[in-house]
Amino acid sequence: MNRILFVDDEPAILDAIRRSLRSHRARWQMEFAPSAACALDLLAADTVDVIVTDFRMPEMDGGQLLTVVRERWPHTARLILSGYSGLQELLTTGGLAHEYLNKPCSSEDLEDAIERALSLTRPD
Amino acid sequence: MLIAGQLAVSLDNALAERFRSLVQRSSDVTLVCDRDGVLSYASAASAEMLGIEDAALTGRAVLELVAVDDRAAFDQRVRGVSSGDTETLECRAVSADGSSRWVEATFTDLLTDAAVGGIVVHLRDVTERRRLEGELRQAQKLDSVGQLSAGIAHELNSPIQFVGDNVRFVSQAFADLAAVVTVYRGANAQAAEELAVELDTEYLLEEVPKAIAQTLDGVARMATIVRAMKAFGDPHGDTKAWFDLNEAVRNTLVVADGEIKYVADVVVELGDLPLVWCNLGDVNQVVLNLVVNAAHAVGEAVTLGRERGTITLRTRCDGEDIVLQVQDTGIGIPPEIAERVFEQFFTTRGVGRGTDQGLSVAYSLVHDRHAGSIAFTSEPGVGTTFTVRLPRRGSEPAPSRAEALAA
Repeated sequence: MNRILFVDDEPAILDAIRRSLRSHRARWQMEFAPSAACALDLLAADTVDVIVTDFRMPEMDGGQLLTVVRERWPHTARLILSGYSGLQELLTTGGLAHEYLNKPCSSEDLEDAIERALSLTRPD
Repeated sequence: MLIAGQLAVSLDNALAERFRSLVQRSSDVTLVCDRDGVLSYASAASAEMLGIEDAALTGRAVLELVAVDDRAAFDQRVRGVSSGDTETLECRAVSADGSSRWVEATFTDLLTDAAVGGIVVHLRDVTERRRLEGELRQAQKLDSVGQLSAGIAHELNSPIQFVGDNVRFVSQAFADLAAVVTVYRGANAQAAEELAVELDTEYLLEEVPKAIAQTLDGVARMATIVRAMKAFGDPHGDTKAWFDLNEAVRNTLVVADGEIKYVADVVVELGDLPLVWCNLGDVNQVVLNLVVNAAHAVGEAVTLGRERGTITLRTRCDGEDIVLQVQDTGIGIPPEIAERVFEQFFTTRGVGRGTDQGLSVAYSLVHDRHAGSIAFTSEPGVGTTFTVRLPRRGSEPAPSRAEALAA
């Protein structure tokens, strides 16, 4: 089963993602972290195939989190799901994120992006 | 002697002719009246500016040329200007056709000057200047709201994201529950039980109410943001009304939340305030600009490695004034630029980071438009406190609340 980690400082967003992606529960083990620090704990505990993180968060933001992920867990695919526009080019061309999704993002688009990210991580 | 005397007279005549010509050809209107405002002279430009021939004005009351709302202030200056002194007033002058234009009136007491023997009132048309000032003010307001737009979009996008996800989930959950109910109605209890387990109806029964509650909360949040944003538009143009300053503080905190919440905690100490006679858009803008300025000051301190800061907003009533304080624990204002922070076009920011006119706009709105005051104390590295005082009855005679409501 693939392990997908979602990070957002807004609990209502995590709850809603968990509900809307519920139909994938048989294939995906979904984890939810309300902060970057909590996400790092979950990453350290077990392999994460795809991380989907918000950008603007207090303490450590999404950019700082993905910098650490790229260094320590290079095989984890990195996605950003943010309501803050204007960073897309910077973050994707800089190689920090494989894909940048703008909030609001439909669950179909999010599913597709996760599938694409999973195909990157599979050694086929 | 005689010849010299004649020469002096003709020199005097030549000078008098020269000055008369200068006054008559000026595009500004020069008027002379007595303390009661009865006109004894009007220059030729009155025909151009007011549509009334200068000769026709002699003996008439100068106040007839002034808009009704401005007459009291105008009259006060005609009667009050002291000898050798000059006073000014921006007011509306009324033309013969009933249209009005903004003029800057200058009052000079030359009653004891034998050659004039009256109060000289000089009218300069400032309609165009005021229009440009209004446009500049509007552009600066839009600029500050524009700078916030990315943050506001972020604040709106979060609830839109989870409202959308939740509604999608609720819709799927309802379809699943409906399927189970249909099987029950077919009286196949065994099959219904199996389907209920497969679709995990326990989970749905637990999660659907939460999803609905969060959705309603998200919609309420979006409505609050949109409502607060509206206060920063210019729905009332130049007009003033009775307004609760605490409301401006609440609006600002909603709109500026995206600027504040990642760098500072907010403390709000709102006093019991009487309403203040002001322009709503202006006062919202003043509070917003001070709060955004505070957030930037704290943000810079955080960038330099300091802990999250605090922004404190206080309101209180002090006699006839309403007082607002915005205190931050930011980087502070260096003493060497302290005198310049309210200057127009003064900026400490690099090119391309907005025009940074927040403080100069706040100054102009408080000082020029509301006859209030704005000042600050600051300690570099510790923080800054801005204090705004607004006369609660406004700069001009405000109507009673009942009159304002009836208008």
